Amino acid sequence: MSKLFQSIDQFAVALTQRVVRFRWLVILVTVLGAIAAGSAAQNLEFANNYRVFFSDENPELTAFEDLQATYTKNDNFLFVLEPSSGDAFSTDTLAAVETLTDAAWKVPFAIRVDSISNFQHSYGIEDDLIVEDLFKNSVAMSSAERERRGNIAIAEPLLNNQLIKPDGSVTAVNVVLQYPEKSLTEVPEAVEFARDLRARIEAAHPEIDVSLTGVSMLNNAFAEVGVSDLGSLVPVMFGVILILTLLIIRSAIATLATLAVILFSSMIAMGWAGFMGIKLTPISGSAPIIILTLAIADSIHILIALRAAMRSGMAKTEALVEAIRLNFMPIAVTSITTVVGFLALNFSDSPPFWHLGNITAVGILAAWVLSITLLPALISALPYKVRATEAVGRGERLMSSIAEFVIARPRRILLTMGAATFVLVMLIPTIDFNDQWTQYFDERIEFRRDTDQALEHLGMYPIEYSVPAKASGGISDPEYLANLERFAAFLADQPGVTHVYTFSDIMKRLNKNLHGDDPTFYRTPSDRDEAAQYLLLYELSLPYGLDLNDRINIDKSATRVTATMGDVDSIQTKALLTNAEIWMQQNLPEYMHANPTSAQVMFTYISDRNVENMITGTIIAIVAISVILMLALQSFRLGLLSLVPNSLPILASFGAWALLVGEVGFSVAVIAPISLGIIVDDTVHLLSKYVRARRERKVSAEDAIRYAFRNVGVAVLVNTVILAAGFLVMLTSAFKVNADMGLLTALSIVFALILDFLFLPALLLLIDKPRTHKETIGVTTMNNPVTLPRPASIGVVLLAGMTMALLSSPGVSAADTTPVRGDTDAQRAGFEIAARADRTDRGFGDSEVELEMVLRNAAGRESRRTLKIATLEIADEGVGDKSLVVFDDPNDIKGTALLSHANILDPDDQWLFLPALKRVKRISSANKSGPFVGSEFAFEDFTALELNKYDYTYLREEDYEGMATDVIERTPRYDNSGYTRQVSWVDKDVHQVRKVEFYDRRGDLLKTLELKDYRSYDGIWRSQRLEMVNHQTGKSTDMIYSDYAFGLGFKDSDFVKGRLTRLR
Amino acid sequence: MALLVVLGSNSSALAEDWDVTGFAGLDSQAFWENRRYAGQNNGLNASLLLQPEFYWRDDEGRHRISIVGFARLDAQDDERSHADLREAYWGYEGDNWDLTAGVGKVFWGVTESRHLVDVINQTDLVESIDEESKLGQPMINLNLQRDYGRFGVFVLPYFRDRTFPGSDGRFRAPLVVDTNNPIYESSEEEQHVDFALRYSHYFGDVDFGAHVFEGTSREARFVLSAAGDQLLPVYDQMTQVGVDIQYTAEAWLWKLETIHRHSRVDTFAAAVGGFEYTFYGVRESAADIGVLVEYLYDGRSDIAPQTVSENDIFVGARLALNDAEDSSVLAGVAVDLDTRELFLNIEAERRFGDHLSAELQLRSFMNAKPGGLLQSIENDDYLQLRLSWYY
Repeated sequence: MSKLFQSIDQFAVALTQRVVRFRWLVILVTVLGAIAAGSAAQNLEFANNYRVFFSDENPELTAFEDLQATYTKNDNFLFVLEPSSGDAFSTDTLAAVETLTDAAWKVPFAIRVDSISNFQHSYGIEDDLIVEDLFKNSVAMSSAERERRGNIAIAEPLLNNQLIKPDGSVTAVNVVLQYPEKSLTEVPEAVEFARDLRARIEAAHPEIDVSLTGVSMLNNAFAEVGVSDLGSLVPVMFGVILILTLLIIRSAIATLATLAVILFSSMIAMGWAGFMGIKLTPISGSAPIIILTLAIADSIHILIALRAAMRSGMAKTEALVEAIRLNFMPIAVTSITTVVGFLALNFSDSPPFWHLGNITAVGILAAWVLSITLLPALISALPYKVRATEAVGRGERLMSSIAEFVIARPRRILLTMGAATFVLVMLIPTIDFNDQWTQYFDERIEFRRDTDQALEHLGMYPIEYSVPAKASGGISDPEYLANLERFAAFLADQPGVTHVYTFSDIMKRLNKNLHGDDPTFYRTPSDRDEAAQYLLLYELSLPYGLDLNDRINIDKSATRVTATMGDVDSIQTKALLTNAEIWMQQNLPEYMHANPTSAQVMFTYISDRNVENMITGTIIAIVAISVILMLALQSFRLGLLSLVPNSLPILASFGAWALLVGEVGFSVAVIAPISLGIIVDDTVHLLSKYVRARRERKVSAEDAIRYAFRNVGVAVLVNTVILAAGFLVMLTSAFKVNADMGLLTALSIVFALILDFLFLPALLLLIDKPRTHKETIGVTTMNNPVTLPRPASIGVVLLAGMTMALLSSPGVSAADTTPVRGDTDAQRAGFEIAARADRTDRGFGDSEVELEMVLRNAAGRESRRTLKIATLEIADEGVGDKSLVVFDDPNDIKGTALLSHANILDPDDQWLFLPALKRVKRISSANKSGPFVGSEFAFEDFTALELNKYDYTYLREEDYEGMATDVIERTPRYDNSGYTRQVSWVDKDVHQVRKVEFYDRRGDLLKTLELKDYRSYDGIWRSQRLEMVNHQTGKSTDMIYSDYAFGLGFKDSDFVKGRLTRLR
Repeated sequence: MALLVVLGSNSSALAEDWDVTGFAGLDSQAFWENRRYAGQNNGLNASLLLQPEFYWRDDEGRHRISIVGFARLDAQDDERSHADLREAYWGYEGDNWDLTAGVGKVFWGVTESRHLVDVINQTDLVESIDEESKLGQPMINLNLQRDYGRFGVFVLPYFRDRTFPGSDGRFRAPLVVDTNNPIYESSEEEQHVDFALRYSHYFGDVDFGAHVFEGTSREARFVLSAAGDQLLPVYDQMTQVGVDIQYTAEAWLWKLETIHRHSRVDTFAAAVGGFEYTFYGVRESAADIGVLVEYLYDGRSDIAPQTVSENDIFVGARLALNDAEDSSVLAGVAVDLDTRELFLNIEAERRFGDHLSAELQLRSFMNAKPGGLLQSIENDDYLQLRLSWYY
């Protein structure tokens, strides 16, 4: 261990000893400190302006502020009136509209009210322009008059689909407000008035359903959802943590101490936020929940170590010192990495994320300090005992079985997990960004319900263009007006656009009015002076508050075009904005080009802006965290390697999201650094233990992995459960950005656990161990282990064998050219016996036999199969035989056939024929150790026993059932065998195998095969009855052969896959 | 040749005798969601199946005759109650060539989630929406076996109309398909003679197949009937070329099927590709778990016969216990990447004794979107138990 680590250890020990000695002082100071800090949290308030989601530098925000400075603010209330009669022009509805229009002027900070009743209807009488309210005292109007004026309203482009639904069934009243923006009470004050107004209208007109929406309601909803989230999620979070901690720690005292730590951590963090004057948003409002989740991890690690230490017999104080000494470094590292991740949020474009990052960072630092001061002090001051009787080891057993699972098949795991992650990563590009801000709120929030209802009838989302004219007064220029009209017509044509408000419509109406209401003059004026005069005349006739200042700028050099969109998402909005830009460039003179702006535009680009800005932040976080890991692990290589299990889960969770949900809001931008900071903890814990085992204990990679799993596996698992639970609680937030953030982070955390448990150890195994050669042959004798790679060793052994055979093996007849393999006497002897047994089986050319299999389970119940096997012998011993198996019975698999082209060491080529589908399917033959049709015979027992598939060693002579036999051992040379070795008894008389014992991968006896009723077919020996017993399961299988037929004249072309379809 | 003699003979009977087998089955379906269209069955539905099979081969093994009938009697849907001749052919084995004449069935392809290149037989859609059940196809088929592969020529003198559920049946569109009044592009109608060529072989670990098909499309597009209350199937003429490839490496099977199809309404390409990876002997047991992932692409336009697989991912798992009862479970989910519509399919099978086998099938349609292809069948989730008696 390095000097640095030693001094850290010493520091931890000294610190804890002092904490314990002065425990009451520590408790007093931390509690008072936390309360003092927390008291500053009283100053916290929720912001009620959606502009806080955008930084001052945000280009869309600055453009929008410019527009609002030129015209009017666009803060508004929109009352949507839906009469159950379906007639907006009934006396009742019109009375309501008139009352509402008048009363709305009294809404605090209201500067303008627009409705169908106060719409400034103009018409011409001779040369005079008459301007008046469209509906005034409508109770007194005749129904014919109401209908006439209703038709005017519907025909009016400024009203139709904006304040009146085209079928005349729904109408709206729009109230524009200008807040002084001096106090946070302004918005709630106006909202309270508006809600009251709605209640009054609904009470007076029970037939009318009023929904209340608009930007002011949106602003208010941000504050309301934040308060509601805090009120509902924090208690749930506390409950979840209480239960989980109790379950894991199983001690009320320890749970109490943990709760104190996390409670004080969030108090300190929120106090800091209050002190800094941060205005909360629903996003930064979720900081306490995140702090609660993250802060608990430190305590859990210490408490688990404490419990283990006390169980091992240490006294409480001694155990506390040890628990903190062991965890001091890991907790420091994980806290710092998490803090780095959260601080990276400062790169975002949205201030709420800066606040969330900074508040959480403070909370995590506080939790770190408290968990090594307050926690030990409390534990030492309170009566804490560990019950000795508890089922120990279930978690440990699980961990060790995971470790063994990975160690057994690292390559396969890497490939599978790699492929799965790859598939998920490939899905990421299908994610769509959608930031439709009303949908940030779920249906629990009144604003969302009202807005959805309003959206069913009228458009809600304005896109503003301030279209400049050539010069001051240039808006009367006929060319300008004509272009404006074309632009408005283009916009109106776009999908999703419900209404376009343009100054040219006013000019068209005036032109008509001043030509005696002649409809043919309903077009933009062709003369500039004429147009200017009309405008002047009209403006003079407008009453206070309904002037044109919200549509025209002061020096009349620009007008405002508003396209309102209906129920669209931000993808559709983006399409509209792009189309409009292209259209402008192609169709409008350059001086008229305008940029779109509005809240809708700002939210449309909020994801792009945030993702753009966060890329830098994420890269910096990744680099910083990697450097911290390299230092902590004292290994450049492992620090770099840890990037793989740290970044893949984030990518995988995006992929899973793409598959499950498909669209995401701007919270997506901050997921990567947050998740990275959190999930890196698991890697730190596993890798630090792995490194410790490798360095200090000098064990193999496999054993180091076992050590790491045994020591921290459970803690890592527990941690993941708590973190995932915490972030899943956020899923219940009524604010979609938080819910998305919670689910995505929880997904990442779970994926991280899977990858850390499977992928990371597999990766370590493969890259962190010296080249070993599992596939070696001839390692059967102690004195001469061969460790050459396979191809080379085969060559060497074959060469040696051949030389030996030629020079020193007169026992082999000259006619027999089979080379003897093996380089010890025992191996050569074993091979010779096997070769002799094999020779008496061979030379048959081809054969056909019918076979009945009797499968018997442990209880003795039997089931039967009948099948036919045709075999074509291939004389070359370097090439396997070809065989075809066709099933006759049971009836449901009748006709199923298996064609095999055996290879000696490579996997066989196999095709399966499924008669119901008439399908021929090439199947994998890696399944050597799998059971053949549910029997106790594995595929490898059943397919041809080729001589060269094994290495042999001679063991001994033995009497077996009255026969003198040679006992030889054979070990499979091919991949994927289920056996480490087989022992076979070969009689000395006719050289046939009489019995085989199979030993499984652990080296235990698995099965015994007895071969009975041997019969010679003109010197070719065949057993007519094979009995296989599985000693581990008690099951057995008998194979009973009919008479063999030989010399049937089979050809290669009888064993091709095309033949499978014509077997019957 | 000799091989076929021995393999074809039955141990208990002389080679010249007819081999009579087959099965009878009972399907019980439970639909737990309310019908979407008036007249459809609600709740439980039952039907009976019968598939008798007769097979004969001469003692020299040159000639063979196979007859397979099929009938279903459905309690609810008259269109689903139907009978078909799945096979009725005479086959002849030459030396390195063979000939089949009559009604038969042919399967081409390698993938699991969709059979793009499998174009010879018409789908018996009322049997199952998975398009795995096929109607018998009248054909004359000559195959030549060479060292460098197998060549097949198919002459298909008669076209089989696709079956569709009736007004009482589930899995239908708002309008019923009028199977009595199909429209053919060819003036010869169902008498049009289709042709196909097939080449298949394997090269080491790679199995390769290619085909050309010229004739009546097996898939139908629809037009409204004159009265506007029914859909009439339209069968266009088409030319299709395609290849199917499988690469087998240890426990990995990599698969690809791709076609290019031209008809008067559309010219497009489609592909299915993916892998199957099997974990053998899971946890030292006899059981295998296979993982299947396939991506499906189809470039056809909206006027071509509809498909559900324009841009989909299929993920599935196959569990085989490898026990004496051949118990197995196949579970899969297909996700439409454009609409996020989900199709879940779970099938479990087990044999009881020597004759009885049971199959449990669960299918569910989720996340159906307005205008999506699942919308009209989104209420048709069902659980089916099939009991079959093999004799």
